[in-house]
Amino acid sequence: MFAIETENLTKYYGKHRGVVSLFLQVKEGQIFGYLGPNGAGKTTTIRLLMNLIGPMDGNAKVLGLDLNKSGLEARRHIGYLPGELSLYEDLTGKELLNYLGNLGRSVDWALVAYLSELFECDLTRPIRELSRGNKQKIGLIQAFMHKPDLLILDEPTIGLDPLMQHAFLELLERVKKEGRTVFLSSHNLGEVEKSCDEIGIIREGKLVAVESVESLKQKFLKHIEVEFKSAPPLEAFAGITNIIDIKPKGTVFEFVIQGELDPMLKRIAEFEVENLTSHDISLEDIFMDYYSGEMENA
Amino acid sequence: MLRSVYTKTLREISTSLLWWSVGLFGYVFFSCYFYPVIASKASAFVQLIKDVSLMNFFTGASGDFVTPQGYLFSEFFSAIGPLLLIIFSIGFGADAIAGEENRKTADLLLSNPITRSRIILDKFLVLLTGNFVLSLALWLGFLLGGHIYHIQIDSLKLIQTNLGMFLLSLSFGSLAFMVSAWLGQKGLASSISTLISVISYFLWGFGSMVNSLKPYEKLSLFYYYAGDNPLKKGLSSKSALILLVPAVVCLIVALGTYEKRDIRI
Repeated sequence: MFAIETENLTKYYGKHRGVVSLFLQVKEGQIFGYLGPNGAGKTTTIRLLMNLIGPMDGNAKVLGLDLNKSGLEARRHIGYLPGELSLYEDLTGKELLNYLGNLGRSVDWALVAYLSELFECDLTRPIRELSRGNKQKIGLIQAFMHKPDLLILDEPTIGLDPLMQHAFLELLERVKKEGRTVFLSSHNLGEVEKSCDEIGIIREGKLVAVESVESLKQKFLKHIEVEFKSAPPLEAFAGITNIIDIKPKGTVFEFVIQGELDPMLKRIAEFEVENLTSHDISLEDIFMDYYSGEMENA
Repeated sequence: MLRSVYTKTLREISTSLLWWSVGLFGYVFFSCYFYPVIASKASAFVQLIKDVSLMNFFTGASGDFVTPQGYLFSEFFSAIGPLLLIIFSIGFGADAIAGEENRKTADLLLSNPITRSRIILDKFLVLLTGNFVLSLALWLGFLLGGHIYHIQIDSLKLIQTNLGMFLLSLSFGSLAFMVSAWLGQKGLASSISTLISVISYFLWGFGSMVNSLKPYEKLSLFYYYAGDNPLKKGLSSKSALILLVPAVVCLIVALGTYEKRDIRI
């Protein structure tokens, strides 16, 4: 069963594109990273899933509930952190959690105590006196405090220091172990790479890739530098289709490879190799490739 | 105080509501305090009003400034009272829904399992409560001031006048509330409502003096509230109903439009 399922979801703001024909499926129990640059349609997707805006076409289901018909029931099982978090400044953290807890969901106060300790968050101070990071912690606590089946988090670690980011990743691990689902939109690619089972990349309102991080890494371009004892002829590598590019510099050859490495390694083994360097590909490289168009060109 | 949108919103405005109530109570009380001085110089005031026809505008078209009913109507009920209540009402009405969007708390609020109609009804209930509390403060001010300074006013007509003022300010507040819920724009909601209330006031105020405006004075809600001094003649049930209709219509439109529209980011 899918925790999130959208079908042809489309949203325009006048002439401006939000998302176009979005088909998205997020499996239950996984942590799904949703990536894209500013304006790609991430927040539009999230606000559609939260029923804050309505689609022009298509539909969405959350935890098997059609948002058009059962949006209220769906929200009962969702913990949400908005990207542009704004809290009621006149309340203290505890008052805010108490207020939100009275709006249709029961709060696990033992969990609140655990979360406030995990994030080192003082819930007794008025929110207007808190720093950006401390407000973000309260935002996270309110999203997690009722043990939702699905968490929709838009830029959850903005303003958090590295220690708190680490605490957040720990919390995601705990949620995952409990079999709950997390839909995570983030610009922090390191965080996504560490925590997500699968990622979706959105560009100009369209979903351009949905895959596991490992699988994406497999598919993406790898840069391998090989130093030969004496330079082999370029023709020796002809016919290996997954070599995208070769840049020879004397006896050092830089190979750009897509997919499996095996055919290329077998071929270079026919020559005397002095050194071989493989540049680890990060999610950031993949992301940059997608947006620079290198992937398409390849 | 944080059990619902109603109690949370009431808490937000409680300090402001308290000071508004104190201010209105004080204004009314001191209006009563000055009445004996006015009554003692009755002939001079009557002459002034006869000489300057524009004074009718400021005395609520009654031309009566020296009887208790005439004085209180001119001093408070014809202009300053309803306008102060309307300012409060429009201020809250415009902020009620759009304010949550302007302050960007709407996303957080609506992510909870609460219907939009529940939010509209709770916020509208705060508008009603606010208007009621201010009307109550006014009534208490008149009750105490009238008692201390021996101003004889029919208590039923005083209640009817207060009710009329309550419904009048509620209607303009509801207009602001409706625009706020419909468009999510606080500035636009308060501008439109203020403009309409000012036009409505002048239409009624000048309607009794300018013949060409006479046919249009019935378009003004002030006409149904003030008529010919409700402190003297009371508020008819027909007028009360007419004053109530805009509030009900605005609430229905607010419910219908807020339910489906996109929440502004």
